[in-house]
Amino acid sequence: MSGRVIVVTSGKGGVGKTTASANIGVALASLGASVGLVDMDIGLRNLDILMGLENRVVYNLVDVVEEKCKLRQALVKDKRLPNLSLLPAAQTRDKSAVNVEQMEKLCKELKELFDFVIVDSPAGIEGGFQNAVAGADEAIVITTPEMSAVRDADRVIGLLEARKEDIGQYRLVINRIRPAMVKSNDMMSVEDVLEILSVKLLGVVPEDDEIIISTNKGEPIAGTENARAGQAYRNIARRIRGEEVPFIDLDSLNTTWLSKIVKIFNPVRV
Amino acid sequence: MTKIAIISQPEQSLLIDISGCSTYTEASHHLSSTLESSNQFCENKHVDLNLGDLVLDNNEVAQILSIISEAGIEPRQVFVQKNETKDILQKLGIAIASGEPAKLLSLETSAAESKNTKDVLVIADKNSDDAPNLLANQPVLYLRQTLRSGQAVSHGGHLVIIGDVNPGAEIMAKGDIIVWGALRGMAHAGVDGNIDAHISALKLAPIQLRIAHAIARAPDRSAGFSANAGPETARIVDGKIRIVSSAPE
Repeated sequence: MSGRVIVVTSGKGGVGKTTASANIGVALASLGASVGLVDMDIGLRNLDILMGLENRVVYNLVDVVEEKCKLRQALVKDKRLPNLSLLPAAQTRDKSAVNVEQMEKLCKELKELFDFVIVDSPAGIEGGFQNAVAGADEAIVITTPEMSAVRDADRVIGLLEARKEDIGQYRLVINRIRPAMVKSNDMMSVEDVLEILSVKLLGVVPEDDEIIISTNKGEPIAGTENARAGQAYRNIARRIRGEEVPFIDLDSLNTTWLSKIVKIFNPVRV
Repeated sequence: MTKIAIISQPEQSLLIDISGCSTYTEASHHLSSTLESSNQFCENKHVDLNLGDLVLDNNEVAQILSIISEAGIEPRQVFVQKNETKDILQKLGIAIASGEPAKLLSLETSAAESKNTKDVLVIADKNSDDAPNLLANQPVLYLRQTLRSGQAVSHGGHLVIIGDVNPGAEIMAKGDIIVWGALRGMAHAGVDGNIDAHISALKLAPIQLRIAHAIARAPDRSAGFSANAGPETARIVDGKIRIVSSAPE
Protein backbone atom coordinates (compact mmCIF):
# COMPACT_ATOMS: atom_id res chain seq x y z
CA MET A 1 0.00 0.00 0.00
CA SER A 2 1.25 3.44 -0.80
CA GLY A 3 -0.71 6.31 0.65
CA ARG A 4 -0.67 10.04 0.02
CA VAL A 5 1.34 12.39 2.23
CA ILE A 6 -0.47 15.71 2.54
CA VAL A 7 1.15 18.60 4.37
CA VAL A 8 -1.06 21.25 5.98
CA THR A 9 0.70 24.60 6.00
CA SER A 10 0.02 28.33 6.02
CA GLY A 11 3.07 30.48 6.66
CA LYS A 12 1.19 32.61 9.17
CA GLY A 13 0.50 31.29 12.64
CA GLY A 14 -2.92 31.08 14.22
CA VAL A 15 -4.95 30.58 11.05
CA GLY A 16 -6.01 27.07 12.00
CA LYS A 17 -3.42 24.62 10.63
CA THR A 18 -3.60 22.28 13.59
CA THR A 19 -7.38 22.47 13.82
CA ALA A 20 -7.63 21.76 10.10
CA SER A 21 -5.16 18.85 10.34
CA ALA A 22 -7.08 17.25 13.17
CA ASN A 23 -10.45 17.70 11.49
CA ILE A 24 -9.34 16.57 8.05
CA GLY A 25 -7.79 13.52 9.69
CA VAL A 26 -10.96 12.70 11.62
CA ALA A 27 -13.17 13.32 8.57
CA LEU A 28 -11.04 11.09 6.31
CA ALA A 29 -10.98 8.35 8.94
CA SER A 30 -14.77 8.62 9.35
CA LEU A 31 -15.06 7.91 5.62
CA GLY A 32 -13.24 4.64 6.23
CA ALA A 33 -9.71 5.52 5.13
CA SER A 34 -6.74 4.73 7.38
CA VAL A 35 -5.13 7.99 8.44
CA GLY A 36 -1.87 8.91 10.15
CA LEU A 37 -1.66 12.37 11.65
CA VAL A 38 1.88 13.71 12.07
CA ASP A 39 2.62 16.67 14.34
CA MET A 40 5.71 18.37 12.94
CA ASP A 41 5.54 21.35 15.28
CA ILE A 42 8.42 20.08 17.42
CA GLY A 43 8.73 22.05 20.64
CA LEU A 44 5.22 23.51 20.38
CA ARG A 45 3.14 20.40 20.09
CA ASN A 46 -0.63 20.89 20.08
CA LEU A 47 -2.16 18.27 17.85
CA ASP A 48 -2.30 15.71 20.67
CA ILE A 49 -4.29 18.16 22.81
CA LEU A 50 -6.82 18.85 20.05
CA MET A 51 -7.23 15.11 19.56
CA GLY A 52 -7.60 14.55 23.30
CA LEU A 53 -4.68 12.12 23.23
CA GLU A 54 -2.15 14.08 25.28
CA ASN A 55 -2.18 11.64 28.19
CA ARG A 56 -1.46 8.66 25.93
CA VAL A 57 1.76 9.96 24.39
CA VAL A 58 4.74 7.80 25.32
CA TYR A 59 7.17 8.11 22.42
CA ASN A 60 7.30 10.83 19.80
CA LEU A 61 8.51 11.64 16.31
CA VAL A 62 12.02 12.52 17.47
CA ASP A 63 12.32 9.19 19.30
CA VAL A 64 11.40 7.43 16.04
CA VAL A 65 13.90 9.44 14.02
CA GLU A 66 16.63 8.82 16.61
CA GLU A 67 15.67 5.11 16.60
CA LYS A 68 14.88 5.06 20.31
CA CYS A 69 11.66 3.24 19.46
CA LYS A 70 9.88 1.67 16.51
CA LEU A 71 7.42 3.72 14.46
CA ARG A 72 4.49 1.55 15.55
CA GLN A 73 5.34 2.11 19.22
CA ALA A 74 5.14 5.87 18.84
CA LEU A 75 1.80 5.91 17.01
CA VAL A 76 -1.07 6.78 19.36
CA LYS A 77 -4.40 5.26 18.33
CA ASP A 78 -7.41 7.58 18.41
CA LYS A 79 -10.02 7.04 21.13
CA ARG A 80 -12.98 6.92 18.77
CA LEU A 81 -11.67 5.93 15.35
CA PRO A 82 -9.51 2.78 15.28
CA ASN A 83 -8.22 3.59 11.78
CA LEU A 84 -6.80 6.96 12.91
CA SER A 85 -3.39 7.29 14.57
CA LEU A 86 -1.29 10.21 15.75
CA LEU A 87 2.48 10.54 15.63
CA PRO A 88 3.09 13.24 18.25
CA ALA A 89 5.86 15.83 18.17
CA ALA A 90 8.48 16.08 20.91
CA GLN A 91 7.79 18.89 23.32
CA THR A 92 11.19 19.15 24.97
CA ARG A 93 13.17 19.43 21.72
CA ASP A 94 13.28 21.96 18.91
CA LYS A 95 12.96 22.07 15.14
CA SER A 96 16.62 21.18 14.60
CA ALA A 97 16.09 17.74 16.15
CA VAL A 98 15.21 16.30 12.73
CA ASN A 99 16.43 16.96 9.21
CA VAL A 100 14.99 16.77 5.71
CA GLU A 101 16.45 13.31 4.92
CA GLN A 102 15.04 11.83 8.13
CA MET A 103 11.59 13.25 7.37
CA GLU A 104 11.62 11.87 3.82
CA LYS A 105 12.45 8.43 5.20
CA LEU A 106 9.76 8.71 7.88
CA CYS A 107 7.10 9.74 5.36
CA LYS A 108 8.00 6.77 3.18
CA GLU A 109 7.49 4.43 6.14
CA LEU A 110 4.19 6.10 7.07
CA LYS A 111 2.92 5.81 3.50
CA GLU A 112 3.20 2.05 3.78
CA LEU A 113 0.95 2.05 6.86
CA PHE A 114 -1.78 4.55 5.94
CA ASP A 115 -3.97 5.64 3.02
CA PHE A 116 -3.49 9.26 4.07
CA VAL A 117 -0.66 10.83 6.04
CA ILE A 118 -1.60 14.34 7.20
CA VAL A 119 1.43 16.38 8.28
CA ASP A 120 0.73 19.40 10.48
CA SER A 121 3.41 21.95 9.67
CA PRO A 122 4.67 24.61 12.08
CA ALA A 123 4.17 28.30 11.29
CA GLY A 124 6.93 30.04 9.39
CA ILE A 125 8.97 29.13 6.34
CA GLU A 126 12.21 28.10 8.03
CA GLY A 127 13.62 24.71 9.01
CA GLY A 128 10.43 23.38 10.56
CA PHE A 129 8.44 24.13 7.40
CA GLN A 130 11.15 22.66 5.19
CA ASN A 131 11.08 19.44 7.24
CA ALA A 132 7.29 19.29 7.12
CA VAL A 133 7.11 19.56 3.33
CA ALA A 134 10.13 17.29 2.77
CA GLY A 135 8.24 14.04 2.30
CA ALA A 136 4.94 15.49 1.07
CA ASP A 137 3.17 14.53 -2.16
CA GLU A 138 0.50 17.22 -1.85
CA ALA A 139 -0.13 20.34 0.18
CA ILE A 140 -3.12 22.06 1.71
CA VAL A 141 -2.57 25.78 2.27
CA ILE A 142 -4.72 27.30 5.01
CA THR A 143 -5.53 30.99 5.07
CA THR A 144 -8.05 33.30 6.67
CA PRO A 145 -9.74 36.14 4.76
CA GLU A 146 -7.24 38.72 6.04
CA MET A 147 -4.57 40.51 4.04
CA SER A 148 -1.73 39.36 6.29
CA ALA A 149 -2.72 35.69 6.15
CA VAL A 150 -3.26 35.85 2.40
CA ARG A 151 0.13 37.48 1.94
CA ASP A 152 1.83 34.69 3.91
CA ALA A 153 -0.17 32.03 2.06
CA ASP A 154 1.05 33.56 -1.20
CA ARG A 155 4.63 33.28 0.01
CA VAL A 156 4.14 29.63 0.97
CA ILE A 157 2.49 28.81 -2.37
CA GLY A 158 5.56 30.30 -4.05
CA LEU A 159 7.79 27.99 -2.01
CA LEU A 160 5.59 24.99 -2.83
CA GLU A 161 5.66 25.84 -6.56
CA ALA A 162 9.44 25.67 -6.40
CA ARG A 163 9.10 22.02 -5.34
CA LYS A 164 6.86 21.08 -8.28
CA GLU A 165 8.66 17.79 -8.91
CA ASP A 166 7.83 16.55 -5.38
CA ILE A 167 4.56 18.22 -4.54
CA GLY A 168 2.02 17.25 -7.19
CA GLN A 169 -0.78 19.56 -6.15
CA TYR A 170 -1.55 22.24 -3.62
CA ARG A 171 -5.03 23.44 -2.78
CA LEU A 172 -6.42 26.20 -0.62
CA VAL A 173 -8.70 26.11 2.41
CA ILE A 174 -10.16 29.45 3.49
CA ASN A 175 -10.81 29.29 7.19
CA ARG A 176 -12.91 31.34 9.61
CA ILE A 177 -14.98 33.13 7.02
CA ARG A 178 -17.93 35.17 8.34
CA PRO A 179 -20.61 35.44 5.66
CA ALA A 180 -22.36 38.36 7.32
CA MET A 181 -19.15 40.42 7.32
CA VAL A 182 -18.42 39.45 3.73
CA LYS A 183 -21.87 40.61 2.76
CA SER A 184 -21.38 43.99 4.40
CA ASN A 185 -17.99 44.33 2.69
CA ASP A 186 -16.08 44.19 5.98
CA MET A 187 -14.28 40.97 5.12
CA MET A 188 -12.57 39.60 2.03
CA SER A 189 -14.78 37.17 0.16
CA VAL A 190 -13.74 33.77 -1.15
CA GLU A 191 -13.51 35.32 -4.61
CA ASP A 192 -11.25 38.12 -3.36
CA VAL A 193 -8.84 35.62 -1.85
CA LEU A 194 -8.85 33.41 -4.93
CA GLU A 195 -8.22 36.39 -7.15
CA ILE A 196 -4.99 37.15 -5.32
CA LEU A 197 -3.78 33.59 -4.88
CA SER A 198 -5.16 32.04 -8.11
CA VAL A 199 -5.00 28.55 -6.73
CA LYS A 200 -7.44 25.65 -6.66
CA LEU A 201 -9.96 25.87 -3.81
CA LEU A 202 -10.36 22.80 -1.62
CA GLY A 203 -12.82 24.15 0.89
CA VAL A 204 -14.28 27.04 2.84
CA VAL A 205 -14.74 26.73 6.61
CA PRO A 206 -17.08 29.19 8.32
CA GLU A 207 -16.26 30.75 11.66
CA ASP A 208 -17.80 28.57 14.35
CA ASP A 209 -17.79 28.93 18.13
CA GLU A 210 -18.07 25.16 18.34
CA ILE A 211 -14.40 24.96 17.27
CA ILE A 212 -13.28 26.52 20.55
CA ILE A 213 -15.44 24.12 22.53
CA SER A 214 -14.19 21.11 20.59
CA THR A 215 -10.54 22.18 20.96
CA ASN A 216 -10.89 22.39 24.72
CA LYS A 217 -12.71 19.07 24.86
CA GLY A 218 -10.17 17.31 22.68
CA GLU A 219 -12.82 16.15 20.24
CA PRO A 220 -12.39 17.46 16.68
CA ILE A 221 -15.57 19.02 15.35
CA ALA A 222 -15.59 16.94 12.17
CA GLY A 223 -16.82 14.08 14.34
CA THR A 224 -19.84 16.13 15.46
CA GLU A 225 -23.00 16.15 13.36
CA ASN A 226 -24.78 19.46 12.71
CA ALA A 227 -21.79 21.69 13.38
CA ARG A 228 -21.33 23.78 10.25
CA ALA A 229 -17.52 23.84 10.47
CA GLY A 230 -17.63 20.07 10.93
CA GLN A 231 -19.70 19.72 7.75
CA ALA A 232 -17.17 21.89 5.90
CA TYR A 233 -14.31 19.60 6.99
CA ARG A 234 -16.25 16.50 6.00
CA ASN A 235 -16.74 18.04 2.55
CA ILE A 236 -13.02 18.79 2.34
CA ALA A 237 -12.23 15.16 3.18
CA ARG A 238 -14.54 13.94 0.43
CA ARG A 239 -12.90 16.31 -2.06
CA ILE A 240 -9.48 14.99 -1.02
CA ARG A 241 -10.75 11.51 -1.81
CA GLY A 242 -11.67 12.73 -5.29
CA GLU A 243 -15.41 13.24 -4.95
CA GLU A 244 -17.15 16.22 -6.52
CA VAL A 245 -18.81 18.03 -3.62
CA PRO A 246 -20.54 21.37 -4.16
CA PHE A 247 -19.30 24.21 -1.97
CA ILE A 248 -21.27 25.34 1.05
CA ASP A 249 -23.77 28.05 0.21
CA LEU A 250 -22.47 30.80 2.43
CA ASP A 251 -25.70 32.76 2.34
CA SER A 252 -27.39 29.98 4.24
CA LEU A 253 -24.98 30.60 7.08
CA ASN A 254 -26.23 34.07 7.88
CA THR A 255 -27.13 34.06 11.52
CA THR A 256 -30.12 36.32 11.41
CA TRP A 257 -33.04 35.36 13.62
CA LEU A 258 -34.96 34.25 10.58
CA SER A 259 -32.23 31.91 9.37
CA LYS A 260 -31.85 30.54 12.87
CA ILE A 261 -35.51 29.55 12.85
CA VAL A 262 -35.10 28.07 9.40
CA LYS A 263 -32.15 26.07 10.73
CA ILE A 264 -34.18 24.57 13.53
CA PHE A 265 -36.50 23.00 10.96
CA ASN A 266 -33.80 22.29 8.44
CA PRO A 267 -30.59 21.78 10.33
CA VAL A 268 -28.44 20.12 7.69
CA ARG A 269 -28.65 22.87 5.10
CA VAL A 270 -24.90 23.51 5.40
CA MET B 1 29.17 -3.27 48.94
CA THR B 2 30.23 0.32 48.48
CA LYS B 3 32.97 0.61 45.90
CA ILE B 4 33.97 4.20 46.47
CA ALA B 5 33.08 6.38 49.40
CA ILE B 6 33.93 9.91 50.30
CA ILE B 7 33.96 10.10 54.08
CA SER B 8 34.16 13.25 56.10
CA GLN B 9 36.98 13.33 58.68
CA PRO B 10 37.69 15.66 61.57
CA GLU B 11 38.90 19.22 60.85
CA GLN B 12 37.04 19.65 57.56
CA SER B 13 39.05 16.99 55.79
CA LEU B 14 37.81 14.20 53.57
CA LEU B 15 38.86 10.63 52.94
CA ILE B 16 38.43 9.10 49.51
CA ASP B 17 38.05 5.43 50.27
CA ILE B 18 38.60 3.10 47.32
CA SER B 19 39.36 0.04 49.45
CA GLY B 20 36.03 -1.45 48.40
CA CYS B 21 37.37 -2.07 44.90
CA SER B 22 39.16 -5.33 44.33
CA THR B 23 41.06 -4.56 41.13
CA TYR B 24 42.81 -1.58 39.59
CA THR B 25 40.39 -1.38 36.64
CA GLU B 26 37.43 -1.23 38.96
CA ALA B 27 39.09 1.38 41.15
CA SER B 28 40.06 3.70 38.32
CA HIS B 29 36.66 3.40 36.65
CA HIS B 30 34.65 4.17 39.79
CA LEU B 31 37.07 6.82 40.97
CA SER B 32 36.82 8.94 37.85
CA SER B 33 33.03 8.80 37.74
CA THR B 34 32.74 9.56 41.44
CA LEU B 35 35.06 12.53 41.33
CA GLU B 36 33.34 13.87 38.25
CA SER B 37 30.01 13.99 40.02
CA SER B 38 31.23 15.21 43.36
CA ASN B 39 34.29 17.38 42.92
CA GLN B 40 32.57 20.37 44.52
CA PHE B 41 32.48 18.45 47.80
CA CYS B 42 36.25 18.20 47.79
CA GLU B 43 36.96 21.87 47.15
CA ASN B 44 39.13 23.66 49.70
CA LYS B 45 39.50 20.61 51.89
CA HIS B 46 42.37 18.39 52.88
CA VAL B 47 41.86 15.08 51.17
CA ASP B 48 43.32 11.72 52.18
CA LEU B 49 43.23 8.54 50.18
CA ASN B 50 42.61 4.99 51.40
CA LEU B 51 43.85 2.29 49.05
CA GLY B 52 43.14 -0.52 51.52
CA ASP B 53 44.70 -3.80 50.45
CA LEU B 54 44.81 -3.00 46.73
CA VAL B 55 47.98 -4.23 45.03
CA LEU B 56 49.06 -1.77 42.36
CA ASP B 57 52.14 -1.49 40.13
CA ASN B 58 54.07 1.69 39.33
CA ASN B 59 51.92 2.57 36.38
CA GLU B 60 48.64 1.99 38.16
CA VAL B 61 49.61 4.12 41.16
CA ALA B 62 50.54 6.93 38.79
CA GLN B 63 47.20 6.56 37.01
CA ILE B 64 45.18 6.71 40.22
CA LEU B 65 47.08 9.78 41.38
CA SER B 66 46.57 11.49 38.05
CA ILE B 67 42.80 10.84 38.15
CA ILE B 68 42.72 12.53 41.54
CA SER B 69 44.90 15.44 40.53
CA GLU B 70 42.79 15.96 37.39
CA ALA B 71 39.86 16.58 39.73
CA GLY B 72 41.94 19.33 41.32
CA ILE B 73 42.72 17.39 44.46
CA GLU B 74 46.17 17.08 46.01
CA PRO B 75 46.11 14.12 48.42
CA ARG B 76 47.64 14.92 51.80
CA GLN B 77 48.43 11.36 52.79
CA VAL B 78 47.62 7.83 51.71
CA PHE B 79 46.45 4.89 53.81
CA VAL B 80 47.78 1.66 52.41
CA GLN B 81 48.07 -1.89 53.71
CA LYS B 82 50.14 -3.81 51.14
CA ASN B 83 53.90 -3.26 51.40
CA GLU B 84 54.43 -3.51 47.61
CA THR B 85 52.10 -0.57 47.04
CA LYS B 86 53.59 1.29 49.99
CA ASP B 87 57.08 1.05 48.46
CA ILE B 88 55.93 2.49 45.18
CA LEU B 89 54.21 5.39 46.93
CA GLN B 90 57.29 6.13 48.98
CA LYS B 91 59.47 6.19 45.85
CA LEU B 92 57.08 8.78 44.41
CA GLY B 93 57.46 10.85 47.55
CA ILE B 94 53.85 10.46 48.70
CA ALA B 95 53.17 10.69 52.45
CA ILE B 96 52.04 7.40 53.96
CA ALA B 97 49.46 7.80 56.69
CA SER B 98 49.85 6.08 60.00
CA GLY B 99 47.00 4.72 62.03
CA GLU B 100 43.56 3.57 61.00
CA PRO B 101 41.57 5.30 58.25
CA ALA B 102 38.07 6.56 59.01
CA LYS B 103 35.55 3.84 58.33
CA LEU B 104 32.35 4.09 56.37
CA LEU B 105 29.48 2.94 58.50
CA SER B 106 27.28 0.47 56.75
CA LEU B 107 23.86 1.93 55.95
CA GLU B 108 22.08 -0.40 58.33
CA THR B 109 24.34 0.72 61.17
CA SER B 110 24.07 4.34 60.28
CA ALA B 111 20.28 4.14 60.34
CA ALA B 112 20.40 2.55 63.75
CA GLU B 113 22.88 5.02 65.18
CA SER B 114 21.24 8.04 63.72
CA LYS B 115 23.49 10.53 65.49
CA ASN B 116 26.43 9.21 63.54
CA THR B 117 24.87 9.54 60.14
CA LYS B 118 26.22 13.06 59.74
CA ASP B 119 29.72 11.69 59.73
CA VAL B 120 29.05 9.60 56.72
CA LEU B 121 28.74 11.04 53.29
CA VAL B 122 28.19 8.40 50.66
CA ILE B 123 28.43 9.94 47.27
CA ALA B 124 28.62 7.08 44.88
CA ASP B 125 27.66 3.49 45.10
CA LYS B 126 27.55 2.43 41.51
CA ASN B 127 26.69 -1.17 40.68
CA SER B 128 25.49 -1.81 44.17
CA ASP B 129 23.73 -5.12 44.55
CA ASP B 130 21.94 -4.03 47.71
CA ALA B 131 18.50 -3.29 46.29
CA PRO B 132 17.03 -1.75 49.46
CA ASN B 133 19.86 0.76 49.57
CA LEU B 134 19.39 1.80 45.96
CA LEU B 135 17.31 4.80 46.94
CA ALA B 136 19.18 5.77 50.09
CA ASN B 137 22.50 6.20 48.34
CA GLN B 138 21.45 8.56 45.60
CA PRO B 139 22.37 12.21 45.28
CA VAL B 140 19.63 14.84 45.28
CA LEU B 141 19.03 17.65 42.84
CA TYR B 142 17.19 20.56 44.43
CA LEU B 143 15.59 23.03 42.04
CA ARG B 144 13.75 26.15 43.07
CA GLN B 145 11.91 27.10 39.91
CA THR B 146 8.76 26.41 37.93
CA LEU B 147 9.24 24.15 34.94
CA ARG B 148 7.30 25.30 31.92
CA SER B 149 6.19 23.51 28.78
CA GLY B 150 9.13 22.19 26.81
CA GLN B 151 11.54 22.21 29.74
CA ALA B 152 12.97 18.91 30.86
CA VAL B 153 15.00 17.93 33.89
CA SER B 154 16.67 14.57 34.19
CA HIS B 155 18.76 13.57 37.19
CA GLY B 156 20.65 10.47 38.23
CA GLY B 157 19.32 10.60 41.78
CA HIS B 158 16.37 12.07 43.64
CA LEU B 159 14.73 15.21 42.32
CA VAL B 160 13.18 17.93 44.45
CA ILE B 161 11.39 20.79 42.74
CA ILE B 162 10.15 23.78 44.67
CA GLY B 163 7.68 25.17 42.17
CA ASP B 164 5.21 23.88 39.63
CA VAL B 165 5.72 21.44 36.78
CA ASN B 166 3.46 22.64 33.99
CA PRO B 167 1.87 20.52 31.23
CA GLY B 168 4.43 19.84 28.52
CA ALA B 169 7.34 19.79 30.97
CA GLU B 170 9.10 16.51 31.69
CA ILE B 171 10.95 15.50 34.83
CA MET B 172 12.90 12.28 35.14
CA ALA B 173 14.89 10.86 38.03
CA LYS B 174 16.56 7.58 38.92
CA GLY B 175 15.17 7.95 42.42
CA ASP B 176 12.16 9.72 43.91
CA ILE B 177 10.51 12.90 42.69
CA ILE B 178 9.07 15.47 45.05
CA VAL B 179 7.28 18.53 43.74
CA TRP B 180 6.48 21.23 46.26
CA GLY B 181 3.82 22.69 44.01
CA ALA B 182 1.50 21.42 41.31
CA LEU B 183 2.67 18.56 39.14
CA ARG B 184 0.73 18.92 35.88
CA GLY B 185 3.29 17.66 33.38
CA MET B 186 4.95 14.29 32.92
CA ALA B 187 7.01 12.76 35.72
CA HIS B 188 9.09 9.59 35.52
CA ALA B 189 10.67 8.27 38.72
CA GLY B 190 12.94 5.24 38.91
CA VAL B 191 13.93 5.57 35.24
CA ASP B 192 16.47 2.74 35.64
CA GLY B 193 13.72 0.33 36.63
CA ASN B 194 13.58 1.01 40.36
CA ILE B 195 10.03 0.07 41.32
CA ASP B 196 10.45 1.46 44.85
CA ALA B 197 10.61 5.03 43.58
CA HIS B 198 7.85 7.46 44.61
CA ILE B 199 6.39 10.61 43.10
CA SER B 200 4.91 13.12 45.52
CA ALA B 201 3.37 16.51 44.88
CA LEU B 202 1.31 19.06 46.76
CA LYS B 203 -1.12 18.90 43.87
CA LEU B 204 -0.78 15.75 41.84
CA ALA B 205 -2.53 16.39 38.54
CA PRO B 206 -0.13 15.04 35.94
CA ILE B 207 -0.83 14.25 32.30
CA GLN B 208 1.11 11.06 32.75
CA LEU B 209 3.05 9.35 35.53
CA ARG B 210 5.74 6.77 35.04
CA ILE B 211 7.51 4.75 37.70
CA ALA B 212 10.15 2.32 36.44
CA HIS B 213 8.37 0.58 33.53
CA ALA B 214 4.80 1.33 34.63
CA ILE B 215 2.82 4.09 32.97
CA ALA B 216 -0.37 5.69 34.28
CA ARG B 217 -2.28 8.34 32.40
CA ALA B 218 -4.76 10.93 33.57
CA PRO B 219 -8.43 10.04 33.04
CA ASP B 220 -9.77 11.32 29.71
CA ARG B 221 -12.51 13.26 31.46
CA SER B 222 -10.94 15.19 34.28
CA ALA B 223 -14.30 16.70 35.24
CA GLY B 224 -14.47 14.64 38.41
CA PHE B 225 -11.02 15.76 39.50
CA SER B 226 -11.08 17.49 42.84
CA ALA B 227 -8.63 20.35 42.94
CA ASN B 228 -8.32 20.23 46.71
CA ALA B 229 -7.14 16.67 47.01
CA GLY B 230 -4.10 17.82 48.97
CA PRO B 231 -0.64 16.32 48.82
CA GLU B 232 -0.54 12.90 47.21
CA THR B 233 2.05 10.24 46.54
CA ALA B 234 2.21 7.80 43.64
CA ARG B 235 3.93 4.45 44.08
CA ILE B 236 3.85 1.02 42.53
CA VAL B 237 1.49 -1.47 44.19
CA ASP B 238 1.14 -4.92 42.58
CA GLY B 239 2.87 -3.74 39.42
CA LYS B 240 0.53 -0.78 38.91
CA ILE B 241 0.82 2.86 39.84
CA ARG B 242 -1.43 3.81 42.76
CA ILE B 243 -2.00 7.26 44.21
CA VAL B 244 -2.55 7.77 47.92
CA SER B 245 -2.98 10.85 50.05
CA SER B 246 0.22 11.99 51.75
CA ALA B 247 -1.69 13.73 54.53
CA PRO B 248 -1.61 12.02 57.93
CA GLU B 249 -4.79 10.12 58.76
